[in-house]
Amino acid sequence: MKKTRIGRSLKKQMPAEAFESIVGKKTLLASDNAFIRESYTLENGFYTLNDGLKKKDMARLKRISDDMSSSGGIFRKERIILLLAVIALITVFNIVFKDRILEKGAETALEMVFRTKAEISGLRVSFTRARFDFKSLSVGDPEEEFKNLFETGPVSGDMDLSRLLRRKVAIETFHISDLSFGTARETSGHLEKKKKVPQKPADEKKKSGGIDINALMDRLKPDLDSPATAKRQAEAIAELSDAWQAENTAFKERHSELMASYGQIEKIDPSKIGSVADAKKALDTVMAFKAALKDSKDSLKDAASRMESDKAKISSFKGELETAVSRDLELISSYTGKAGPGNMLTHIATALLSKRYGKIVGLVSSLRRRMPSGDTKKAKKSPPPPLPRRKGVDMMFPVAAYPAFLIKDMDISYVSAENDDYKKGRCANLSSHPKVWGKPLEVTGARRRMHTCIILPLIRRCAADLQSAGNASGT
Amino acid sequence: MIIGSFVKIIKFLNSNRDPGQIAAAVSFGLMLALMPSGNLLWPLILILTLFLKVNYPAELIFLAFFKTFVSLFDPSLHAIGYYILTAGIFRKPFTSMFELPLLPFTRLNNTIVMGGFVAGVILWFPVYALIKVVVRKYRGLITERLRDSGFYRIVKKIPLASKISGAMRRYGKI
Repeated sequence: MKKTRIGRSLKKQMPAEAFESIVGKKTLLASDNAFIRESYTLENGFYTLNDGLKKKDMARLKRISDDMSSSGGIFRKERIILLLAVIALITVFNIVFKDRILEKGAETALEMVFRTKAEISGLRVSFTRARFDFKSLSVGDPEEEFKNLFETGPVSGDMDLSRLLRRKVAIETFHISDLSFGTARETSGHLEKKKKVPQKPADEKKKSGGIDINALMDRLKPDLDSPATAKRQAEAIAELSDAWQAENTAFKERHSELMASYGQIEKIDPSKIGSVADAKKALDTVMAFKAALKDSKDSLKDAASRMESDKAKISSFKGELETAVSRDLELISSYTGKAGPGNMLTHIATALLSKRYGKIVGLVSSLRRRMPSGDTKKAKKSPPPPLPRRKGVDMMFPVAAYPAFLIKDMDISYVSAENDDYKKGRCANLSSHPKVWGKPLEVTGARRRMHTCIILPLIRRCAADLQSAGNASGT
Repeated sequence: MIIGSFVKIIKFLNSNRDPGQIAAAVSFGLMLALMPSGNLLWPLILILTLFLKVNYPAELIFLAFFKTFVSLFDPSLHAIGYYILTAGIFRKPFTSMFELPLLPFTRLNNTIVMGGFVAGVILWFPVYALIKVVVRKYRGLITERLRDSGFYRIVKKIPLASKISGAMRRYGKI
């Protein structure tokens, strides 16, 4: 029996039952079904492929056969195998290369930050247990070639992975040992300088597609609203300021006049008024003061109302300027393409049209601007705030409370590079939610110099009971 | 790329491949569209479909299609999610569920995420069955008639149609 396959499902010779089950059930297109049946001949309970089939017909048979074979099953086996292979590769990478690559990466990152040599030794990272440690770290001093900016001994950190997967950061332990500053180093701490690439001259840069910012700004300025708005508002504010300064001067003058009139009234001695003429004169002085006082009151009231309106005017400036700025921002974003390709395309289309039919487009746009239509009113309005789409509401469940951030145990020890001074600080139970964590915060400091050791419990604090301790014990 | 995707779908529809693949693609597209994407559940479902026999072009096209107007159903999805999340019967299971690692990242405690997920799961089976029937009917009634019709031969001579036909030949393997 010939077993040569055509595609993945059909063979050159097949038992009648197998043929019927494959062709009858899996061939969904009637024309393909008929074509397969025409291509085979039933002999002695076997379907045999006809001889002399054209190349085109064979290709069609193969395609149909492949289609039928791909229909069974739910999973893509080849992809699952690929996934398993990737997992195996990651495991191998995790065991063999991970630490070295991460060590190199951390050194490079530190060198980029400090711009000096950085060396880490014995880095071990475990992602599955959220743990890392290294034996030593030294970062060179950028100013002094043979000195370290800082150096540490063993450092280790350990996080609670199960908490991290519940969106809680819980640092189980974090130890920095033998931190010291300004220690001497045997090799140079400076990085090898890279050769500078000669910069192209400005004209050449322009030719090579560089952007002339000044020209761009000059081109953009006429289209922008905010500079004109800001200028107009600054002028209006300056005018108001001048007006109020003049008003202030007038008030001062009026005040001095009033004070002078009041002085005259004070000078009047009622015991010296002997005649009607004296009395009349005194009365005139008082009446004149009263009239001046009334005038001043009225003008003060008037000034107060004007001040309110000016205040409202100035506060409206802010909104107006914000609207203009956001509109300009939208325009600039559209030029740079950051407001989305659609907006940019609209502007490109407008630019092309104005280049080709400049006069017409200019006329139309100027007419549109002048027309007192609803559009202009709309344009003046500030854009509405974006509606929160697809947000929903987060429901809370009474899950067991745990602090969002917690340091269970952290200590740092410091060694002086110059003398035998040794300091150690420890912090435990530092929590973002002390009441939830319950255990008291502990901060301890210790110092040893020569043969003396002083341990100083600095703070011992509970959520309910706050205690500060300044006890010292020495040996 | 979009033309390529359409060509792949057309080619799929006019082949002997399992109509369930395209039905599953539409169902998953709808399910993913109903759920907002800023959570762990969404990429997990998308990745799951990579390991299932699903027609991806159809999935992506239907996902984009449903996404355009799914926000219209936000109030209903919110109502479904709110009803489920506040139902007394589910309170205890949900509380213990959100104690588990990784579950908080799925944001299933959000009304729209929960509503979208539940609606997607419920609609998955009817949509699957419906599309499967539609594809079978299409193959049985339309494909054969289209192939035999003079209209098909005329259309094939149109430049755009011949381009698509060329692309179909290029994308011989789906």
